[in-house]
Amino acid sequence: MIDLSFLAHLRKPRRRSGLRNRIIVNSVVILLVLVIATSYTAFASFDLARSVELLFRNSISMEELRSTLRDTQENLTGYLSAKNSESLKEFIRTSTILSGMTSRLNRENKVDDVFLLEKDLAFLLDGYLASAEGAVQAKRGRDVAQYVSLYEDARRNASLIEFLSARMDTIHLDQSLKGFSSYKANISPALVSNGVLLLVAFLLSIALIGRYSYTITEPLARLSVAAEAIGRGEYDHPLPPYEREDEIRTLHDAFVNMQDSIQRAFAELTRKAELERSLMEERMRVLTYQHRLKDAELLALQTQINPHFLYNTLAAGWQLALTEGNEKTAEFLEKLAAFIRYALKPSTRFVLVSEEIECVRQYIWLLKLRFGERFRFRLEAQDEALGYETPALVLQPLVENAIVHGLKDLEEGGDVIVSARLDGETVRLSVSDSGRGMEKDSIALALAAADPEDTTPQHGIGLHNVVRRVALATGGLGRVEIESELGHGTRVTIILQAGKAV
Amino acid sequence: MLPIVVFAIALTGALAVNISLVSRSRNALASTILRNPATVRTARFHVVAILPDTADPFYTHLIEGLRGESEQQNAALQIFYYPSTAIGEGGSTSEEVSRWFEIALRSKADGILLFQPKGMDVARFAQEADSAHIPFVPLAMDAPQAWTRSGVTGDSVSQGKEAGTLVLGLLGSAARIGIILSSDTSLGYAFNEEPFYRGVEETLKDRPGAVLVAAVREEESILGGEDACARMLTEHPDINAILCIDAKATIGAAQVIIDRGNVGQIVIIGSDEDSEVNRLIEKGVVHASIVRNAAAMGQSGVALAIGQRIGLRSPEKISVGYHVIPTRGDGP
Repeated sequence: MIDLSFLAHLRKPRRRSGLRNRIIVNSVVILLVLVIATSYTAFASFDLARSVELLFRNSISMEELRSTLRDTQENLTGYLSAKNSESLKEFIRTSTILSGMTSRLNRENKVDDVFLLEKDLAFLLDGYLASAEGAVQAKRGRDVAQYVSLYEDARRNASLIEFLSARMDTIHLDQSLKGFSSYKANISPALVSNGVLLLVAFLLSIALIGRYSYTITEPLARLSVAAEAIGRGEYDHPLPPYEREDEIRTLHDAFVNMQDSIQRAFAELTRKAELERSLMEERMRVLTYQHRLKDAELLALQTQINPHFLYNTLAAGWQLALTEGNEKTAEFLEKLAAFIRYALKPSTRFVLVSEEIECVRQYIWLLKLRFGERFRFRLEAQDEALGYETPALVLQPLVENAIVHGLKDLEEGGDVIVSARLDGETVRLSVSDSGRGMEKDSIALALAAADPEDTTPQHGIGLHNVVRRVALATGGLGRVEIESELGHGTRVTIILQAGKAV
Repeated sequence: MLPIVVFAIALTGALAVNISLVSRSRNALASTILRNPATVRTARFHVVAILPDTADPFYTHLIEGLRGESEQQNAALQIFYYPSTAIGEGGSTSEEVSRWFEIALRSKADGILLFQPKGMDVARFAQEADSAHIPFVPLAMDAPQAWTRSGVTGDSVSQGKEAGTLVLGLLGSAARIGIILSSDTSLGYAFNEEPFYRGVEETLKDRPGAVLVAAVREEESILGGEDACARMLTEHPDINAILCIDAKATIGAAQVIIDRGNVGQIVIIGSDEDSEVNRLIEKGVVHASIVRNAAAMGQSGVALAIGQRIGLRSPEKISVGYHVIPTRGDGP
């Protein structure tokens, strides 16, 4: 398995350090310029010091050479005149020193006056040493003419060496003076230019400091103003864009992100508060519905007869009819007792659609016993809809309404259709009749009962009750629709959110 | 942003100026006191020239010729100067010249050139150089009689002829000529024996009427030419042409002519050239100048010495020529 953990650092946000780099680079450049200028001036000063030292050293060397030459000549004279061994020893010592000095002199044909003078001096010294040593040898060999001649030659050489070395001193001084004059002629403006350099560097530093101070503080001041505005609750305070790629850009971006986050958070809080307020209103409405429902139940209880007495009486009648062999009566009492038992239970409960359909079927049986074949009933219940819940006793009052109000003026005939079907997420229960239909005002009056605040007196109690109970029981989620055409009939549909019984 | 750019440019410029100035200062020391022997060119030959210490343009051109030819011959030129005022009178030898010559001899130079000082006999030097097997080339305005083997000289007779010819061309038989000769009397010539004088005199033989009125010697001093000219014109106011032996005499004569308001009335034929002589010619104060070829003298001297050194040439006498710088004026 390939370890890709090393790529993790590549995803790290890039650190912006442009501002710091620019400040460092600019400072380094200024310092570098000053260091170069100072170094150059220091080198020039060092050269000057070295030149002065060399000038003195040359003079001293030349003086040492002359002094040694004089000593050598003196020792030579001393030896030749007195054949003094001490003088010979000293001659050998000083001539050795002189030879050492001579060996350090230039002997090449350099195209330079001083080096050529050195060459002249070197050859003169060679000649002097040769003559002097020759004179000493001739003295030892007692060759008087020879040592006198060589001594004279050495003396002449010494004289020329003195002359030349003095001239060399003069030439050295002359050249040095020329060099120093030229040095001075150039170094004076150099010192002025150094001053200008320092002044310009100072001004440049001031300008750079000013610029970077503005560059740094101006966006920070804008951020500060924006932060104060946010502190006052102006979360949408505009912040001008910042284009440079540096540390302040990082700060700016972070601030803008924070501003966006705060704005989003407050929007979310506002939305939640609004939602909670809506929920609270909804709860209040439900509580109102429940309160009204309780009132209605209390009223119903007050008006109910004792259901157990009625049910027991009917049961006793059913047994009596069976005892007397009157099966039709027995069946009638049985269905009536079942219907009454269903009807007398609390109307606020929820039942299955199948139970409600069964109740309507028993009620129709009872109606057929009463009215014979005067009305035609049809039950159309989808199996899919039967398992869903509905407020109890909502279809029977509508069937009763259809018979009592819709079809009552018909001399004969009249159709009543009861249906239950599943329509997507809703259960639709409807009762249709082919009666006289309803006025629009009546429809509006009936539907107004859905409003818990509605206290308008009703003529059709059954329809009014159904509309009110559907609204109360479902917390306003269920509703009743009424379609009617005068002379052609009415269809009342209860529309409920599909909810399975537990 | 603009001030920063301006300051940055100023900073860079100031740095460049600073480095340039300091470098020049350092170079001034490096080329004199602090020069490194390893960086100095080593030549094949060592030539010593012993010259009078004078600002005369003739010698300036002579040195230019010496330097130019030395470089051509790969020789290191060493010049020893002797003061022109230190010359002994009456043909005695200058101690300083002798000393320089001896130094050159003992330092085993490859050639010695000596501009013959006034009153100095170079024959002894030639002998000593011969003994040391060092080529010796004397230089002189005119060949001394003592020279027998080698040397480079000018030709004052021809110079005088040229000057006379120029004057006669301008003035014809009406010429009244005055000559300013060199202060150098070392050759022992009287006025009428001076080569320049003789050259002028020779041209007048064929032109009856033209007269050589006077000849004077310039003084040793800087204003020696002026003194001589003023004196001559005072004594001979009929002079209408002045012939000068060198640049100093030319400039002095011109100054006198200007001061006296005789520009255009008296013809000046000068000698040699420098910026001042050229300016006077441009102005028409000096009609023409006969320029002795001093540079050629220097070149010939070095070439002859090195040629002898390497065995390609033998001792010989060389006479360098002259050329004339003409004026645009037509004369009086």
